[in-house]
Amino acid sequence: MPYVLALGPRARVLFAAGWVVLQAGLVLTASCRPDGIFGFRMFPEASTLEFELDRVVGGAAVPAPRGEWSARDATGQLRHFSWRDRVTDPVLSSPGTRVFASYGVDAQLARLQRALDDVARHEAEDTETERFVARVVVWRNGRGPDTVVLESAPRGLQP
Amino acid sequence: MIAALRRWRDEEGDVAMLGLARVAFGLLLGWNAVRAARELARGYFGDVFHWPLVPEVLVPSRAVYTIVVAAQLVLALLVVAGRWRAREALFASAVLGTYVLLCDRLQFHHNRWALFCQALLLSLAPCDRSFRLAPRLPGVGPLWAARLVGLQLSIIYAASAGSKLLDPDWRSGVVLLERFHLYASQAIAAGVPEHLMNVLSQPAAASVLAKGAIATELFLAVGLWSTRTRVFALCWGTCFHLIIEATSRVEGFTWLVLASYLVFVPRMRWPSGGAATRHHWWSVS
Repeated sequence: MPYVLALGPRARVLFAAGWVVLQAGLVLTASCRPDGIFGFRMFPEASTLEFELDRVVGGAAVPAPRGEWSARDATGQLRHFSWRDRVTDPVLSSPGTRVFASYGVDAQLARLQRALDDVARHEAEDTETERFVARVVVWRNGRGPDTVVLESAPRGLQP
Repeated sequence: MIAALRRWRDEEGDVAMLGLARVAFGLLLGWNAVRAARELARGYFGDVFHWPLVPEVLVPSRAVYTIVVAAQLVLALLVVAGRWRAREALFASAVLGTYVLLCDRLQFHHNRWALFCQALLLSLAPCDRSFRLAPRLPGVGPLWAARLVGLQLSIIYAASAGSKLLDPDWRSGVVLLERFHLYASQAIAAGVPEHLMNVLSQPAAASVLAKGAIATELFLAVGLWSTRTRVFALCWGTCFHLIIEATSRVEGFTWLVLASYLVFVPRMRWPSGGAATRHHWWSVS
């Protein structure tokens, strides 16, 4: 039986051509992905960021200091919620703390947007919060600060 | 061009060093699996916020992921031992590792992706004939896949250098300068002399270092392939990566690159004019 990992001459050329095209494609299109994954862009930035989490309740923004808040569930009971229960990533799990933006500000903003949407989807027991808002202060390569506001998708609360 | 392509496709040579590269990759894969096991012990990534590149339905359950991590550990052992199905284990490790990256791009790091790329390419080379817990096999075999391991390394260097070259902040040294500002206290606490950090934290010094880093990566992308520059490139690259290892958190990237350098070693020619491949001081069993 031929050894499956011992490619023949024709397969070697096809595999190598495919591999180089794949890698070149991933590297050249890395800027199309906010986190530049598969692009081998080592140490792309030396940026930092800090964000505060707010909840929108009744149309008004309510701070959630350090990512902690309380809200009523469907039975009317007051419950405690924490951003960290759902978001454990080292950079994103620390509202109110200035952190190094691994892989750059754009990468972390894209991740934070996803995290906001994820928390909005998964905190089903919170029947008060209409959506989450992150006010992000960024220092891009030491310059700034600039403020970026990210919002989660609206939560479909039951009336 | 066609002749060069044929030479690359059909070239055979000493593959003893590939065994050592396999062992090194196996150790890195094992370390990666241990890290994954530790993280799993703290919590399964699928239970919290994660960002899959594949459809959510393809993200494994906790039970399946536990099996994947256990399999990665076993496969790494097979890769290191080299006694039985080492190349298949290397290939499977690369596929499983890539699958996990695709299940959560928060876990993506360039060093992990590079490891899985190199592991897959090396699995296509006869890397199981030496450095194995079994009698040594004939030491001559096809080198095309080993050349691809080297080419992948050049792609990494070129991509990294290219992205820095296109970034004005990198070219001017702003990125390095800010890194020095952010991490100076940690570096000093780790034993780096304070006066050295003060010098490096000057814009002019950071600018020179940034240009030097870009030039080094560009040089390594091509210098490893020339017989005239290879020895210098290997030495310079080793120093370059050891400095990065000492000053940054890059997981196993330094050791991955140094292991990948092994595919260039049999092509070295020593001052006496003899090929390094004539000396089998690295062979075991």
